[in-house]
Amino acid sequence: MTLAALDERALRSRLRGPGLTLHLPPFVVRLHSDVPRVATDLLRLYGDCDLGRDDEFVDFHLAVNYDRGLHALWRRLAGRRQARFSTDGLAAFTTLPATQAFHMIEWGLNWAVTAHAHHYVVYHAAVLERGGRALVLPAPPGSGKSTLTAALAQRGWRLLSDELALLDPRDGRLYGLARPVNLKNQAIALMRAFAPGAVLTEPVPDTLKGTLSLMKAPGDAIARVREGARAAWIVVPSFEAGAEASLEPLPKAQAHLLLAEQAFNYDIHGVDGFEATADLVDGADCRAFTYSRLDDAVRVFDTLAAAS
Amino acid sequence: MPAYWQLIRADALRVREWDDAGVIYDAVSGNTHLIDALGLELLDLLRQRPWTLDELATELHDTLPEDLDGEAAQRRLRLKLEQLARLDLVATA
Repeated sequence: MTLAALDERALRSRLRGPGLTLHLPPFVVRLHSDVPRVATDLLRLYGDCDLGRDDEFVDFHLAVNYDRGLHALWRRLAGRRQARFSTDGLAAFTTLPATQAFHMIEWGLNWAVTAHAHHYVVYHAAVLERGGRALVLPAPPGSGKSTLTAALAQRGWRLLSDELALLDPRDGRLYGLARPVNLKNQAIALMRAFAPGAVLTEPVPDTLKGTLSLMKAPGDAIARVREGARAAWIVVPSFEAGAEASLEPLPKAQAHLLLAEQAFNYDIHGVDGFEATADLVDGADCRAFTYSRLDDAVRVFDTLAAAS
Repeated sequence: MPAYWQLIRADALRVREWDDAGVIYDAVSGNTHLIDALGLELLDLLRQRPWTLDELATELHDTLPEDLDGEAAQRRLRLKLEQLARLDLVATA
């Protein structure tokens, strides 16, 4: 049974009560929230995901609830209601405006995975797949990674992940949770124009990152979420206004160092993390990519996939 | 007596190289470093035994650019060794 089988009222009730158990392979998550908008966005973005049982073992217990207490009452009266994220019943991070409650779940889940899922080497990178081969896009914030990922996911590349690339050192394959893609500021209007059929959440303005919206992972990505893929390309994207699309060779040693810098638990894996990252780089064509127009970018990546 | 350059902890180092550069992992510090071709050559030699600067310059004569005479070659090697020393990979005995 998928989440879409629940109507919004039933979902809200479950989130306020026993919690919602959701399968996000390779993990199982239980969510709690008394913020109504969470149910709205969950249905919009995770409707195709499988529901789990209430008595099932879960990897992460996540909650985003309205902040309580006198100070919270004051903020509520002032029209600035806050929400607080907690995991395993313990409050984590600062409170944020309740309008950002759903994004707090996304950020909190990222944190939970990076803090606990050490059977994977976890990189801050997007992963897409074409013809059984994975494209890895490691990049610091501001590089246009998520916008590029969203565009490729809407043009025939299977989305594995926008934020977290999970490398299983046992089989050398990359996995993702096929979760929504983060879009911010101008990228929201850009994606609406680029892919009018894409499902986006209502933009949330005035966050620390500006205006935020999330794009639903395409149905094929969610249906095939358990299928990992070996890296065929590691491409470091860089958005530059007005730039022609350009794909240049990137020395593998540099690619290794960049991945190590962008990994969350490379140090925890020690020499195994070093070797796994080196193997990842070894088997991939490494490039640096500069672009300004999404149509050009999609064409370049389609050509890359067809040529090799 | 000339100083001998040597690896600080050979057993803790893992190297992967591609084309003209590589990365080295130091299992004691947990650090990964980017190493150029000359650095890789030096580490490879120092893994065998301790070397003096003179010996290294002779051994790597064919590797260094032709326009580097004896003194310039030694200067280049010393700078590279000092760079590796700052990464706690090599030291003089």
